[in-house]
Amino acid sequence: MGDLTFLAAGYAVFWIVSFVFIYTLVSRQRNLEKEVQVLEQLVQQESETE
Amino acid sequence: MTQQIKSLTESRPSSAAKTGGIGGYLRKVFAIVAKDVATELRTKEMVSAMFVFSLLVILIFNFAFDLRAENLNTVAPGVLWVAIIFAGMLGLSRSFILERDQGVLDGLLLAPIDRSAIYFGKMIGNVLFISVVEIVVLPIFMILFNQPANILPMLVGVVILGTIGFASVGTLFSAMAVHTRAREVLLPIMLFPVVVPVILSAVRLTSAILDRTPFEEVSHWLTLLVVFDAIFVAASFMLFEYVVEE
Amino acid sequence: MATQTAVTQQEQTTTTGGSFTYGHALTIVSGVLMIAALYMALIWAPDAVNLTAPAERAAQRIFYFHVPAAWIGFLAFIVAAVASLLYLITRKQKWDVWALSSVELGVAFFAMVMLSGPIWAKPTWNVWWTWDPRLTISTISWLLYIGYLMLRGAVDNPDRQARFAAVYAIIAAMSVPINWIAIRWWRTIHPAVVLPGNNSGAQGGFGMSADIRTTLIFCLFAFTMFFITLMYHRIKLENLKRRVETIRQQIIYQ
Repeated sequence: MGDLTFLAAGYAVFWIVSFVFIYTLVSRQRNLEKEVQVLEQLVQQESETE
Repeated sequence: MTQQIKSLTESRPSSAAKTGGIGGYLRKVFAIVAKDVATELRTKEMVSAMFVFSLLVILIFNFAFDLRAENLNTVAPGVLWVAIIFAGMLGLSRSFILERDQGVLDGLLLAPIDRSAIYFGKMIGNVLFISVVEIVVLPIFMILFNQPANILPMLVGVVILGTIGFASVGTLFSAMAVHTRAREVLLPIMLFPVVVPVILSAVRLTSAILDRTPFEEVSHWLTLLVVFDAIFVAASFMLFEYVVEE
Repeated sequence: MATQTAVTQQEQTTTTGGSFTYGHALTIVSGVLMIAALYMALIWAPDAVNLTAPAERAAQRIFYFHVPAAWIGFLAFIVAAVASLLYLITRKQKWDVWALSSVELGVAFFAMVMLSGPIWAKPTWNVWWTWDPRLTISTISWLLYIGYLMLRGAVDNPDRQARFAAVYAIIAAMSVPINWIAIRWWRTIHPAVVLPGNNSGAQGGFGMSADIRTTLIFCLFAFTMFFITLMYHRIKLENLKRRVETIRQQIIYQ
């Protein structure tokens, strides 16, 4: 086997891009879940003030 | 402005607006073109800006690429088309921005006109405005690059086909861009990748004309340009109503 | 705890029945396939025969992921265009979600192509970049995708955003084949490897043995599953996002 640097770098690209993309999916999901929490609190407050 | 729109609506009673066949349709298209031309004639703002801009581009290229005699014929087609494209971008953006700022577009949409007539009217208007600039730029270009006059007809043909291709999608996209933030930046970003075939064909054909290459060698480029024009005029015309519906 | 169940219910109502098992199943299948593909590409596949430099021989294996990524990138384009057309015709939100998700994935896959390409090119042709047809068309397609996302970002009104994006996606998709032809005619260095028996002497080209072809097809299959899985999750996320947005509007403008 010769110089493996290029091969390693090439494959690293695929995994890095995949993980970045998946990470954005996961973090957006988390933010949305947090927002659902906030919204539910708002709904609770509104029903309490009625 | 309102008088011109009134003449559009009064040319046919609303119930017969969609009838009247090809003649009526063409008349509406022509009316839109006439309105745009009349507006521009009043101020001559847009066309003069485009003209000055294209001359500046040629000038800048001259300095940037150090255009000596040996290089001339290689870069000449590119210079011509960059000047045309950039001036064209200016013209495209302005035609819709003005409308929007004066609420004319809403007036046009209320009138009983087939949306596609608006597209053709706008597109032909754009082609006309860019052509006006080209009419002045081409002779200057030929003088600066020492070209004989007998190639002018062929050059004009290529320039017209290229302008139509550029304006076909350009009119559609500028109708969208006008509703966005950063519209001046967005229009080139959207348009350039799509019109690459036009630029490639036009530049190749222009090179062939300047180099006196036999037609058979570049006929496929001409076919591509014509096919592009046909496909994208049709597609833009069909998609235009989805852009201007409210 | 309460929010967990709320979100769970959210997920179950925004997707079809059995959503949890679908999502997990897809993820697992996809993960297994990708690892298998990695093994096949790096270990199982034989070295390409007529390549001399060791670095080049090793780097050739990038091809097994690079080519499927490109094919999937273009597939994403087609999916986006079809979804956009369906959106304009039916005006159902679902199609807009499909279009947006597909374009985002297209950007990701084309990023893989654009980055892995030069890395493969350097040991093979000794240049990082050339304006050869396939690289050029990939660049243009990538820019078209990015233009789509920028257009969406620049329009606030959601209905208009969806409509404009759909129109743009259709024009962009139509421009790709014509761009491909134009660029092909304009330049002719990319290895002509796709069909066996092709001139493998073409610069940097290599002979396609049966095993190499098998590996490539397997990797293509793995990438397709990967694409489907990512689409599934992205669409689910977007549906959740729009649902939350609707609820937020309802609460604020009570």
